[in-house]
Amino acid sequence: MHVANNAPLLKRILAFIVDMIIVELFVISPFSRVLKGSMVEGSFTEVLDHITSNEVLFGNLLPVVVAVTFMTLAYFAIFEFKYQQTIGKMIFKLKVVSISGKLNMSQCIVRALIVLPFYFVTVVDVIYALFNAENQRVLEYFSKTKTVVA
Amino acid sequence: MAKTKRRWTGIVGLLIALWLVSFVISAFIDAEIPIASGNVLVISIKGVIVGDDPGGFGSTALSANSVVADIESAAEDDNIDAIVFEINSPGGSAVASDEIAQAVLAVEKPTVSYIREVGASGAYWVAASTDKIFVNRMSITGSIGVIASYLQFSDLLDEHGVTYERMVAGRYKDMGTPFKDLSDTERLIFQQTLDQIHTEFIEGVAENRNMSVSEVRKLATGQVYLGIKAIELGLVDAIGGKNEVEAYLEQELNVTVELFEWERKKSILDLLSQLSGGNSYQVGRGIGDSLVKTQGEPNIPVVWS
Repeated sequence: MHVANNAPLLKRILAFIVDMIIVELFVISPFSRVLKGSMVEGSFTEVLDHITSNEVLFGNLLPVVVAVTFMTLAYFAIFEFKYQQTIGKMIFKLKVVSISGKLNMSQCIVRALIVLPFYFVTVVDVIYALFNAENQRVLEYFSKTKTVVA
Repeated sequence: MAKTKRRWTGIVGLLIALWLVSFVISAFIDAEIPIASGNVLVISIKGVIVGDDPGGFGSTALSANSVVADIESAAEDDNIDAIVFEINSPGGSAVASDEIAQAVLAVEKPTVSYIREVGASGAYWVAASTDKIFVNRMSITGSIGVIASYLQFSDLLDEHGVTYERMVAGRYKDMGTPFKDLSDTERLIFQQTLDQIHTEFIEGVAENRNMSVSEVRKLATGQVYLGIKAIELGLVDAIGGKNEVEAYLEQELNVTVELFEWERKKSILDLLSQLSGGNSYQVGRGIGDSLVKTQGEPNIPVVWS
């Protein structure tokens, strides 16, 4: 039985960066029409201040945030279910495998929950991977999947 | 080779599908995101004031709902120091005008209005709720009065042999129906209602303008006044336009005033619903709407005018 090597952390990070660029191009860019003109130019903190200091703007951004999150989740879940890889993972030759038989859609969705806009989930998920012998994220643990070298 | 090509076609197809779905979702999101670029918000009061905008092409109605929403949003927005109302309206629904006026009175920031061509009746009621009113010398304002009217075509029905079969529970349930003459008592009831609304209007103006009720009542004949005369009568405060408003606010707030308006974009869904719903309503309202309203309730629009 062939045992695949665990994916190196650096490659996983680079793959994720590539995926976020793809998400920016294909998922977030259509929403720029909605956001156009309502944002200030500046650092991340300045933009965040602008949004949080304006209750109306903050409230109106909610549907955009929900839609972008849903579509980003769809990108990761669909690609990993169909190809076992996102585009980032294809470039860095990584793939997702299921520990419990064939990879199914619900596993892919659970894995992709990392894109939810809750910093706590993201931080815990990534920190767990750093201190885990198999570099497995928390959500990978729950979905019974892991990322390996293709 | 064919397998690789099929794989890449699938990947590209998926990306395009994701983009398309995102595009469609974004089109359905109500893009009402205010674009704040100044510190004093200008809200336009243009056209006939109504509760809800029936929409459709060529609609010049101003929805009180959207104006009230803007006022409330501006009141909560820390970046906005004051609200200016640019008025060019002959008035409209009594209830809708009062809703806007009440929203203005609830604002704890300075509010100023400037009347351009017309700020009469319900629009004047809105202006009177602000802290300061500017007008052009030739602006038309005032018109403190109430009007209610409807078409009565019982004679026309008689001519065509159509009869109105009256069935009511409650003596005055069908008063105001266009299918029968108004009785003296019914006319009296309507007149009393209008007088009551008129008094509300007068008392509101008196309170907001720091005038006595008797003083306003003398002016509340429904007559319109030119801006220059309205200043003499105490109905407005000063001659001026945007520049004067800016200067006044800079003095009041002690900051540099930058006027701005909120751009409100419409989503595709809004446009579609307005096109279909609005136009269907416009087409049908000549016949169906009047019939439905007449049977359910008195079909008498009350307007400040």
